[in-house]
Amino acid sequence: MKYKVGYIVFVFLLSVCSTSYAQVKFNFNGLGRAIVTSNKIGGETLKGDTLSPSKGLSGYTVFDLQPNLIINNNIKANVILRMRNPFGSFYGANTLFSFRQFQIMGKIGKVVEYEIGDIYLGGGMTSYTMYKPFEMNHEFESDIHSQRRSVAEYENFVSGNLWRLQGVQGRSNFGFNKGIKNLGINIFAVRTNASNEKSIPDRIMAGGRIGIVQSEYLAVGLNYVNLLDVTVNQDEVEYSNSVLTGDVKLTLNRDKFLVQLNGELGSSNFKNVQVYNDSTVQYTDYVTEAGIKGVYKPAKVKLFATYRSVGAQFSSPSAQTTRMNVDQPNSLFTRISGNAVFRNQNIYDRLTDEQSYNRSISAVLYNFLPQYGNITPYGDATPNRVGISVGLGSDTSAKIIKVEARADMFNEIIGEGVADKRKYAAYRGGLVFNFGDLLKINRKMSVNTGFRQETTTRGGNAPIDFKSTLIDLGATVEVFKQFDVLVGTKLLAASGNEYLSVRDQFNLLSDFTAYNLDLKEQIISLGLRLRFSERSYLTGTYNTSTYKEIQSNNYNYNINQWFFNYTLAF
Amino acid sequence: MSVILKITMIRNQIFRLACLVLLIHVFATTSSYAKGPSDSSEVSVVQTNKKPSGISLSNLYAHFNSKSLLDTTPAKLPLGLSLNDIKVTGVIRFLSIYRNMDKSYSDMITSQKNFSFADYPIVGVGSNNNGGFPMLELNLANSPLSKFQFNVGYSFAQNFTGNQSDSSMSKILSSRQNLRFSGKWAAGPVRVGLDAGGILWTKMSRLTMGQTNYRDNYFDRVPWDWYRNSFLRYEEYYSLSTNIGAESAGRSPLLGYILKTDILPLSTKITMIYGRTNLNTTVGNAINGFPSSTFGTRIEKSIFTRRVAGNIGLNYYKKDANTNSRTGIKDEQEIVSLDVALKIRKLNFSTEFGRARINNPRYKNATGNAFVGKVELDRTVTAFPISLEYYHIGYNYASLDGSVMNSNTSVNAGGYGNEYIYDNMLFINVAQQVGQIANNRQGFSLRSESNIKKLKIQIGISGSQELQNLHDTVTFQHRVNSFSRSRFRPWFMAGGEYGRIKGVWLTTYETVTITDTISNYKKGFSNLELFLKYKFRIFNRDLVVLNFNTFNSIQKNNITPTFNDKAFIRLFFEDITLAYRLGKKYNIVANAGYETVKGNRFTQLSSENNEPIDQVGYAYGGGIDYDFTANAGIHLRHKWMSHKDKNFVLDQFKGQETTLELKIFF
Repeated sequence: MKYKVGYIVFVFLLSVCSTSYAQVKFNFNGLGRAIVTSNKIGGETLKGDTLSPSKGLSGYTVFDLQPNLIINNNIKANVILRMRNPFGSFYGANTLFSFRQFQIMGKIGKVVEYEIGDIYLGGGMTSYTMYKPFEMNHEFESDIHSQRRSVAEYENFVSGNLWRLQGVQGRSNFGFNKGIKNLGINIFAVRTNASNEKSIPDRIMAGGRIGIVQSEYLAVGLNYVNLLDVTVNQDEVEYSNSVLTGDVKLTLNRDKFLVQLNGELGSSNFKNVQVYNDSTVQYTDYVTEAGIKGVYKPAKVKLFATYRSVGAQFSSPSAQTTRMNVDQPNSLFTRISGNAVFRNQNIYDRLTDEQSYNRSISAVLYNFLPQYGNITPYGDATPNRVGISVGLGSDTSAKIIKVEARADMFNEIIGEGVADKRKYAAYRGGLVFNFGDLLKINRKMSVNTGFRQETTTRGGNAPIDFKSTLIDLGATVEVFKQFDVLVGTKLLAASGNEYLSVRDQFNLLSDFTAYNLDLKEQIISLGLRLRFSERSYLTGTYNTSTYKEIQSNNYNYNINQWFFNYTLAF
Repeated sequence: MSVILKITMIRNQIFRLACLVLLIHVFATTSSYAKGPSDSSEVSVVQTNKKPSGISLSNLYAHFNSKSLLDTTPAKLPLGLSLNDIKVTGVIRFLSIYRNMDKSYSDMITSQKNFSFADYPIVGVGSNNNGGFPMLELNLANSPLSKFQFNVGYSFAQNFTGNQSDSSMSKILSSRQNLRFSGKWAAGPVRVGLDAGGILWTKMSRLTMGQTNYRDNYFDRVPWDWYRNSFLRYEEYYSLSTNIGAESAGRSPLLGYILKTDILPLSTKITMIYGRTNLNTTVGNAINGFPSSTFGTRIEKSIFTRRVAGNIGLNYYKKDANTNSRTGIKDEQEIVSLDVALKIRKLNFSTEFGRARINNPRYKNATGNAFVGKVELDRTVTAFPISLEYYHIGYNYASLDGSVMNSNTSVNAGGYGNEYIYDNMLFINVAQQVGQIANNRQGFSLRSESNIKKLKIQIGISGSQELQNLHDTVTFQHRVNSFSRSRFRPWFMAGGEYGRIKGVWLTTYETVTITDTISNYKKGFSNLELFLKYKFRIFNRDLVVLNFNTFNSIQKNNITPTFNDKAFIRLFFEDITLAYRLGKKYNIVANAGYETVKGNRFTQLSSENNEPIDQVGYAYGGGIDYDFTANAGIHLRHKWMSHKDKNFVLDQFKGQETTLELKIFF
C-alpha cells in the first residue's frame, strides 16, 4: 500500500511541478510488455510421474511508467512505477504495483555529476574491482536467444558489466592545458545490506576511481572499493574487504595501426572479526595483469595477449559476485521426481529464468556449475588463476563481419585440497556475418556461430579431467520488411569429474564435493519476429530444450516452450 | 606490506591533489557567478557524458543499450513523451447502495441493513473490489497514435471501511480492464494489427466466441453506462430499439493476443487470438500457471457485388486445457464453424454451421453440431420488419465463450470439475430470452416491430425444444429485482432458502427440479415478449414510457406457450418505466415491476403444504438524474422490492434499496 500512496503522491507532485513552473520539464518513458509462455516437460525422468507438474501456461503483462522530472541541469529525478498483472487473472485481481526505481541526479556547481538512489556502478572501473562478469560465452549467441535473454536482463536491471545498487555516486572531469590532459574522478557509496539495529550491521560499499589521461600515449588510473560493516553495539561479525588497484595504459595510435600496452596491479585485504569469540580472520592477496593489443586498421583486425595472475585469496566481491545464482530454484518446473526434488538449473533456465539472477553483492563466492564455465566462473577476478590469454578478432569498426578467437591457458596458483594444481585451457570464439549488409539489400540477414571449449585437468591423488563444449548457431532473416525469421541453437556437452568447492563464511575453502557428469544439453529455437517500429515488436518462438545425463541417467528430460512477447517502449 | 603502504601513500597524494583541484574549481566557479564569466585558462569543465534528457543510467536506458550485436529491435534510446503526448481519460464513479431488508434469505451475505460502495457487497475478494467498477478509472494512452500504442488504466476503489490503520480493504488499487498494448504494421496491401495484454474484448462468431447478450433493465443503472446526458438514454431506448447491452456487448474478454491481418486485394481478414478468457480457469489457478489456454482463428472474406454484399467467415476455436498440471488428462473444447452474412437486395440472410468436440474425462471426443440461420426482411418488403431465426444445437456443442447457453454438465466455467455451485455458465434447460440460443435445443425466434403514430411496438416470440431429455431440472430468469437479488449472495449458484438461486453478474436465475418419473418426452420452451414504447409531452416536457412484458413457459412436448398448469413453469413479468424530463439537466424516473412464477405438480413440491412454487414479486421505484455538467451527473434511485412464494414459505424477502451514483467522465 505504501507503494500505491507513494505513487499517487509522486504523480501529483510531478504534475504540480510541471504546471507550476514553466521551466520545469516533465516527460515520460515507459515499457510495456505482454508475455505468455506455454510450457511442457517430459522425458525419462518424468515417466510415470503424476505428482510433478508437467505442463503449464503462464506469463504476465507489465507496464513500467517512468516519469522524468527535469527541474534544471542541477536536479533531475525519475521513478519507475510498475503495474504487473499475472496472465489469466481478470478484472484487476492480483494486479501488483511496485516502485521499481528511484533516481535523483544532476550537477553540483557545474562540476560534479551526482546520482542518488538506484544507480549503476562500475563504469570505467576494472574487471578486478567493480565488474559484473558475464556468465557464459553468449556474445555470439543467436538473435532469438539474445532477445529472450534481454527480457530476463531487463527484469534484473542488467546493463552490461555494471552493478545496479542503491546509494550515491559522483563523477567529475577536469581538463588541463598543462601537465596532464584530463583528470576524472568517480566516487560512490552504496549500502548492500541494511542493519536490523541489533546484531546485523549495515554493510556499506564505497570506493571510486581516479583516472588521469596524461596524453594520447599515457593514461593511468587508481581504483578502490571497500566493502565493510558499520559496527553496531551487539553485532556478531564485523567484516571489511578492500581492493585497491592501479592501472596504466600506453597507446600508440597511428593511421594504419594501434598498439596498446596495459597493466593493472592491485591487492585485496579481507578482514572478518568474530566479535562473539574475539577472533579475527584476515588475509591479503594480489592481482596482476599485463597485456598488449594491436589493431591493424586497413584489415580491421586486432590481436591481443594478456597475462594474468589472481591470488588464491584475492577477494573482490564487487568483481567476483556471479551474475547467476545456481542455487536459486528454477521458476519453470521447479520440482521433479515425484515433486520431491528441485530441478537443477540447466542452460535454458540460465537463458530465460528471471529469478536466477543475483542482484546484490556477496562477500562469499557463490557456487557455480563447472559445465557452464569452469575456468573463470567469477570473471577475470576468479581467484587462484595464473596464465595467459591470446586472441585475434575483427576491429569494432567492422560492420559486415565480426569474428573473434581466443585461447586461455591458466593454472591454479596453489592446489586446492591437494598439492597438485589444476590446469585449464579454453578456446572460444565466434562469428557474426551480416550478409544483408554485404549484399546491400537493406534487409537484416545474418548468421552467427559461437564456440567455447574448456578443459580442466589435474594429476596426482585426486585427479580431475573435465571438459565442456558449448556451441551456438543461429540466423536471422528479414523475409519481409521488418518481419524476421529467427533460428538458433545452443549445444552443450560436458563430461568428466571435478570437485566443487565449499566455502565458509570467511570465503575460504572448507570442503570439496565430488562432481561427476556426463551431460548433453541442447536448445533449439525457431521463431518469428514482427517489428512494428524501432520500439515495439512481437515475437513468437518455439523452444525445445533437452537435458540428458548420459551415464548416470539421473535426470533426463526435455522442456518445450512456446514463448510470445510483445514489447513496446517509449 | 611495504607495497601496500606505498600504494596507500600514492593514493592519498592523488586524493589530496584531486581535492585541491576540486576546491580550486569550486572557488573559480563560485567566483564566476559573482563576477560574470571567468577568463581562467587553467581549469575548464569537460563534458563527457551525453545522455538523453531526463534519463540517466535508468533501467530503461540500460535495457536499450544491453542488446546483443544482432538485436536491432528497439535499438534507439527512448526519447520520452511529454504530457501533451499522453492522453488522460477516465471515469469517476462514486456508488453507494444502501439496502434495508425487512425479510431476507438466511444466506444473504450481509446483514439486513447494509451499506455498500461497490456494485457487489463483497470487498476484498482477490484485489479487484469484487469485479465491480472502481471509484476512479484513470486511463493513460499515448496520443496521437503511432505504430504502437499503450493503454493502461489505474483503478482506484474506495470502500469506506473506516479502518484507517489497515487500508488493505479500504482502498484498493488495481487495473480492472486496461493493461494493453497495440502495434501496427503494413507492407504493401497487407495490414497487420496486434493487440496484447488485456482486457481485449473479442468476437469471432456467435457459435464460437462472443458471449450472450441480455436485455437491459431500464430502471437500474449499469456500471458502464456511458451516457453523459441521462435522458438521452431513455430517448434512445424509445427511438433506437437498442440495448446499452452488457459490458461485453456480445464479446468475450481475453487476456493475451489478437493479431489481425487484412489482405486488401483479397478482401480477406484473418484474426488470430491466443490467451485466456475469463472462463478458462479460476483465479487461483490462473496465477499458478494452470495449463489452460484458448486459441482461435477467423478467416473472413468480404463479398461485394452488384446484388449481394456481405461476408463469409471460417472459424476455428479451441480451449486447450488439462484437468491439472500433472497427469496430462485433457479438458478440451474444439469448434469449427462457417458463417455467412449476406444482404441480397432487401433481404438479410445470415447463418452459421458449427461442429464441436469435447474431450474431457467424461466425454472422449464427443461431437455436436450446431446450426443457426436467420432471415430479416425490412419494412419495404413487408408492412413491418421481420426477423426469423432457427437454430439446432446438439448437447455436445458446448461453447462457453460463444453465445450458446450451456446445458452440458461436463463443460464448466473455470475448467472441468469446477463445482456446479460455482459454475455461472451452466444453464440447464434454461427458459431463455428471445434471441438467446442454447445447446441440446432446436427452436426459433421471431421478432418484429411496428409503429402506430408515436407508439412503438416490438414483439418477440420464441419456441424451442430440447433434443434429448437429459436433465430433470429447469432454469428460469427472475426478471423483477434481478440485479438487487443477485447481490444477496453473489457468484453462488445454490443460494436462497432452498438452494435454487443462481446469482450471476447483474442477473438472477432459479433452478427447479422436475419430479415427473416418466421422462419419455422432450421439454418445450416458449417465450413471448412485448415491448411498448411511447413518447409524448406533458407540460411541454418529454415523457418516455417503456413497458416490457414477457411470458415464459416450460412444458412437455410442445413449444407453444402454455398458460395452464400443464406447464412445468410459467413466468409472467410486467415492467413499466417512465422517464420525465423536468429540465435540460434533470429528469425523474419511475418504475414498477411485477413477476409471477408458477410451477405444476411435476416440479418439486413444498414440504410445508405439498404444493409447487407459486411466487409473486414486486418492484416499485423512483429516481432522479441530475446532469450538473456536460460530463457529470448524479443519479439517485430508490426501490421497494418484495418476493413471496405462497407454498415455499421461506422463500420470501422484502426490503428497500437506495442507490446513489455520482458519475464524472473526463
